[in-house]
Amino acid sequence: MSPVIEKMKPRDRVLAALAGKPVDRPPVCTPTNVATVELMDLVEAPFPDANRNGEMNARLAATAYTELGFDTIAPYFSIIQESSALGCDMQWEQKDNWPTVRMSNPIWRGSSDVKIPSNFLEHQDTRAITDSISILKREYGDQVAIIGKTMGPWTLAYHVFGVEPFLLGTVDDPDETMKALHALKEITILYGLAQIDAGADVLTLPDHATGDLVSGEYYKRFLLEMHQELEEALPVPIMLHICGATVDRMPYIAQTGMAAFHFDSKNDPVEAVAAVDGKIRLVGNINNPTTLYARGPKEVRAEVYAALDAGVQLIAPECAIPLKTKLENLIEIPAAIEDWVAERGVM
Amino acid sequence: MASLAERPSIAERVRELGHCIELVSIDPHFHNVTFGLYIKNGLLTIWSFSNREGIAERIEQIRDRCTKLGDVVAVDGTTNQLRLISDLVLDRALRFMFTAAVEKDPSQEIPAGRIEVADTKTKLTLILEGSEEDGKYVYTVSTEGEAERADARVRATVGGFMRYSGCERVDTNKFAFPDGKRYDSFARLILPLARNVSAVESQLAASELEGQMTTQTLGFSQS
Repeated sequence: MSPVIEKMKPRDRVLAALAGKPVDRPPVCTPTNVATVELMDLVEAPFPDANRNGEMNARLAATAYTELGFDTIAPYFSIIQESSALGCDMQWEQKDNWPTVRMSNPIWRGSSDVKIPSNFLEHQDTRAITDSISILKREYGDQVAIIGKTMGPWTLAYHVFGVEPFLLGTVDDPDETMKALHALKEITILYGLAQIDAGADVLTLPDHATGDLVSGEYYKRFLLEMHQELEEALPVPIMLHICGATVDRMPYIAQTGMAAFHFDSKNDPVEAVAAVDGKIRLVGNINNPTTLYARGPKEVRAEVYAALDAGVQLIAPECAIPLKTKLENLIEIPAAIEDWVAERGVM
Repeated sequence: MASLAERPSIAERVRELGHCIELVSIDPHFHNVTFGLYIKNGLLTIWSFSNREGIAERIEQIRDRCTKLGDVVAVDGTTNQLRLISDLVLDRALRFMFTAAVEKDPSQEIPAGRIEVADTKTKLTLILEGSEEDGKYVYTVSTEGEAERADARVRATVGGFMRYSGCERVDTNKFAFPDGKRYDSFARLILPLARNVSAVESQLAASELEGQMTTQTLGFSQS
């Protein structure tokens, strides 16, 4: 049992956990998104507008703290804000679906095409997030950790080059792939720094070198060093996010120097904790499509307990939650953490 | 930013409402608002977190449609609550009832009279009739019209009732609800779904993927 720690503010709890310091209880975190269609109604901030308007965005994002009792507020719900500002072909969808990039219609062919528009940070869809972070910092910054998000070069490459052409390029011309990734990395840094300037305490860095598309060795070859560079360039704790089965690359991810890895429920939490060997904190990994979407609080609680028992330091849904997730399941996450701590003491 | 402090918390509200059986994310007839059907101790409540003008009237309209679509009754003195007519909770049937009540045109008449539907795979009309048999209310599926596979269509329809209402097969063309009681409204509601399970399943699967962020929906997977 750890020594008794006074009750912490959510922000302090999150930053301490990310730094590997003692906490009063493991934080409940949202590296990606916990907005739902019911919360959109509650604060009159529906998709897609809530992705494109800073004030609406802040209203919706704040519900993670004000309504659900999470320790973080994460206003960048999707993965498309930078790509929209770069000129990608967008499908904004409606309230109950995610905006996406039409990757079948890529805007660039190679590294020489990568050019950051001079008004990139002034574009409506990048400004929506920085404006929102400023509002949230003003309203809640003293209490809650504000989580920004900047997309990694691999994800940006999918959006601007198309998934298939980009992946084929990694085989046909790996040097050209590296050039493209380095060029795109500047966008990651630019947007990350803008969000830090606006008040972000932490950044999530999704980079979808996912388990079902690329191998762990690919991660090492193309991304490990780049992620180390990003960690140095962005002066806040970073949570790397990669979907899918990623245990094979977790030992490499643990070498990035980033504060935490946000991992998927396709990975057993006990195996994940062993794979990172204490070199990086873990955030996750409550299953979305089955547990949070289709099951009930009992199953949510069981997964929270399994993650905590395994030694996962920050509890979170594995990825952006389904927009139709039932609120009873979301509010069960912090309740389960409180009960776990009451039963077993802090980690 | 507007203060949220004066409202009951979500946690309090969810405790009052109970378990959410179904969430219809977009009401095409009322400002794309989301409605939920909640159940607690056999009491069903229709709820929305929206404060739009007219929301209470729309909820009452949905509630009243539910009483015509399903075997549920309005709770006296309320505008948003329903009660089951027995202890049997037909989860799938209630979900179909609620979705239809929200999504279907409210000005559209709800069918009455003989329980029947045109088959989608043949030119048959599928007909449902019920009667008491050995202490149970048993529904018999029959057909009108000509088709080579009429018996197979009847068997498949009975299978659809087993799938979507937990019904028990009494014979190749007969079924009863799990408690052996009469549920004509649910039977009418389920019949169009029971006749074509594979199409309904595809539709449900597609609907479940909406709003999910996965490597598949993002286009970041091989499938």
